Amino acid sequence: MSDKRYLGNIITDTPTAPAGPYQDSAASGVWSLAEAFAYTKAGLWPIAGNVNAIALFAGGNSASNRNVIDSFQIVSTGNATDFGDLLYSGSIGNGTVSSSTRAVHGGGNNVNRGADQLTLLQYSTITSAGNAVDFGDFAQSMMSQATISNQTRGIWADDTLNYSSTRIDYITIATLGNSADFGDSTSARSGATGVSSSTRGVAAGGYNNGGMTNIMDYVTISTTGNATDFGDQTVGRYQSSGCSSSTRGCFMGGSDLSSALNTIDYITIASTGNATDFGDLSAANYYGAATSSGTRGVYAGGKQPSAANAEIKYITIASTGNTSAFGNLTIARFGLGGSSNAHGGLT
Amino acid sequence: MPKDTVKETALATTDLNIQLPSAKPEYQSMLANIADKAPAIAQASTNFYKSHSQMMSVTLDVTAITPIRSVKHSLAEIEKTKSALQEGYFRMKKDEVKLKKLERKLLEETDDLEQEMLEIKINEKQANAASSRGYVEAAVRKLNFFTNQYENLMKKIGKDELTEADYELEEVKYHIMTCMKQALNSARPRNGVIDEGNMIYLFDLGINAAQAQLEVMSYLNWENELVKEGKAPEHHHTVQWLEACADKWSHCPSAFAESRGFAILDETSLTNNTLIEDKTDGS
Repeated sequence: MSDKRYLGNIITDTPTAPAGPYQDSAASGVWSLAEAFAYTKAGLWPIAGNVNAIALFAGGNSASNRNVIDSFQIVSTGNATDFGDLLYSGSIGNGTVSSSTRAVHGGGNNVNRGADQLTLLQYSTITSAGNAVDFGDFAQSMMSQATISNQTRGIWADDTLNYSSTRIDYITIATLGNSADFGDSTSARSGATGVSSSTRGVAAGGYNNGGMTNIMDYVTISTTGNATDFGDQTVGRYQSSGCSSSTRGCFMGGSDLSSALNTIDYITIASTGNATDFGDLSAANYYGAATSSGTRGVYAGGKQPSAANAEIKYITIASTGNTSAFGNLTIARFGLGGSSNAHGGLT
Repeated sequence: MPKDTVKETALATTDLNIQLPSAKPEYQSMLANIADKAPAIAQASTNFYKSHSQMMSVTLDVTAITPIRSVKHSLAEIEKTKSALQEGYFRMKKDEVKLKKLERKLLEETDDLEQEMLEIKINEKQANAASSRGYVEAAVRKLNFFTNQYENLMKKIGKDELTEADYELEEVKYHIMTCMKQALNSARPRNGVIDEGNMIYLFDLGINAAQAQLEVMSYLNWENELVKEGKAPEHHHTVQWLEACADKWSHCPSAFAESRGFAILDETSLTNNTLIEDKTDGS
């Protein structure tokens, strides 16, 4: 093996280490397999599919509607920074789906536009800060939905505005366009919570005419078939927040209408069993948002119990335990949408 | 545009008339074309009031791999359709009464603008009623379809009636087959390696994941050998393999449950179980 470095066509004796382990980290030059292996062992070799997990939390409300999109790196802990703005002047109850490159913020209720319930789909490119861009429209207004996504498809189910409906909508994230009909939920309800693996999406809980429900149902993302019964949550609630690894889905917080809850429970997405106790949020909270890096779940914002808060908390999805402090959003708010470029549907 | 130059063009559909103010000739020809085709389109639309085709219902909606689970899932579809039908029916009946009220009000109304407004509302209600009727009729067709599917499934099972014990006894087979179906599907794009989620599912069923991995690799190799011989693996081969897996590991869930102090089936806690003696009277 030559000990010469071929860096941008310039031969050098001094190797320049790769900039990081992520798929877009620079590793200029020509490398031997032994060098690549050594850097891989050291966790410094760029690997396809390994992305620097970035979370986006968009919209929401606190006294007035917020159009802010916050972002932060999930592997670190710290405060969020301003990423850009949603179109119009913000929306409460938007639901966000994401691929590894794009987050699509769907629906919501924009009080500043005259109680305008939104059909709007808008998107952000996760690695480049900036304002959201028009994507397309839902067939009808949606708000506070269960969101499910993998690298290809984004799905919204069981929203608040159509609580007597079993409607599920989907988009192809890479294209721009209107949503299309997916199939039906097993039960009409509103304010359910979604978690995803790369093949399956589970919607849990919600509120229907009979009150709170703890039912869960799942869809196979690549088909557009109806949802199928999954199992039950440990407690019936709505407006909880979901995050997942490729195998495990966690449902955090929520409300049983009379009070906010600190419950976190989890499911194994491949099985269809009931949820199991995971741990607790640091305080009872509902109407926040959650996403994940595939290994770490983050929960941000929400009502605690009535005032909007800015806290970001995290859990390690593979373990069970209570949340730990992470940092703060730029603005305290509830009814926001959470997404990332490395959630359980993408890993 | 001065008011006297505005010409109104009527768009006649089977449901309602739209007065579109336009003097442009291209719009007149467009509206005439739409009016001409509208009855046929309205007729064709009735085919699509249901969200899913029959084919989709039995392949992509009801995906349970064993017959009694398929019965359970089909009954759930029947229940869901009944609820939707009930809701749609009552909405339709309420709309009919509202329409009659508006028509009565129109007869009594003397103000010309109020009359015009009532006529618009009546047109709107008539259009909505036609749409509601379409969905109710589609729900009836779906209900009939799944009722017939229920009968077909019972014939396949070879029973007139199912008991809770039948359901419980099939559960082991259902879960092993479902888990291995998912494991095989996850392994195909992962160089034959089962994903972590299904490893957990296997563990919870009391099946050693290494054994399952070996079965998956063996099956995929068998498929490869078949392809090398110029033959095509078929779907029924996979189903046969899944059934063989269910047979091989059928004892595992109960053994694992018993090792944790559970009994996988308690016959005294079942309803309509004709196989067991009723001991609830204490005798």
